[in-house]
Amino acid sequence: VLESGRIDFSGQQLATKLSNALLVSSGVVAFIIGFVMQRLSYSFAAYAFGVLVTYFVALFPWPYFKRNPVVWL
Amino acid sequence: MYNIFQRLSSITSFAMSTLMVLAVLISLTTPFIPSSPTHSVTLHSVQNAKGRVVDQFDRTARKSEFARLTFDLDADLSSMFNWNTKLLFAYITADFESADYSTNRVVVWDRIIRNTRQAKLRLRKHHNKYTLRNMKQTFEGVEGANLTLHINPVPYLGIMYDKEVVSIPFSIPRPVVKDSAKEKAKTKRGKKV
Repeated sequence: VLESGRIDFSGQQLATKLSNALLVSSGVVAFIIGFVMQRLSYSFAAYAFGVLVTYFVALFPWPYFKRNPVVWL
Repeated sequence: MYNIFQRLSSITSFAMSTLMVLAVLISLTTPFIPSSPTHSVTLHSVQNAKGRVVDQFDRTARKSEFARLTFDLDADLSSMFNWNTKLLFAYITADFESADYSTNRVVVWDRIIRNTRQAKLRLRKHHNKYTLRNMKQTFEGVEGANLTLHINPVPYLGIMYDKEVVSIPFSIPRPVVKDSAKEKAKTKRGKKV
């Protein structure tokens, strides 16, 4: 169980970049939504939604993380 | 990032850092939101009377001069409510200079305003909520005083500050001196003069 969800190395790079970009952009979108609607709760709700989207996209071992498998001899 | 738990840990820690940056951004941009409150304070009357501190029926308590004010307050503070305002704390202070201390500030009235409905204030001939008295038990030597309205916006995220909004000068009169003959007649216990 502790070794579950293995992905290859370029997949790990992709996972890092993707999750960072998604989190920063959900922070920016959350600020804009809250400022425009003038409600603080909307801001944090949007940010929480963005974090859940990031988990969905980058947490699980999707096939696009396994496109360059390491070839052993 | 090679297994699920590593990714969970890394993503969650970066999410918490980004959340902190979001909170700091919100708190730093709040002072730049414009607000246009309207306010006016007028003073109706000032009285100065002698009384006893804490309990008027406790003869061992020390005597002091108490100033009583009646004032009018008209204010519309609803524009001070933005997304980061939790409540507004409005309070009126009497500031004066005395011989012993250069700054004296006594809060005589305060109110917590929680939403824009409560932000429309209209007080007529309102008494002061808290007693106004000097540290030295007398207002003798205090030339002039100022009645100042302050507003304190308390944010959800960020630093709260004080906004001194309007200030009117007033003077505290000397207490009324009673007839000395009548005073002497009172102190003779039981015996009629």
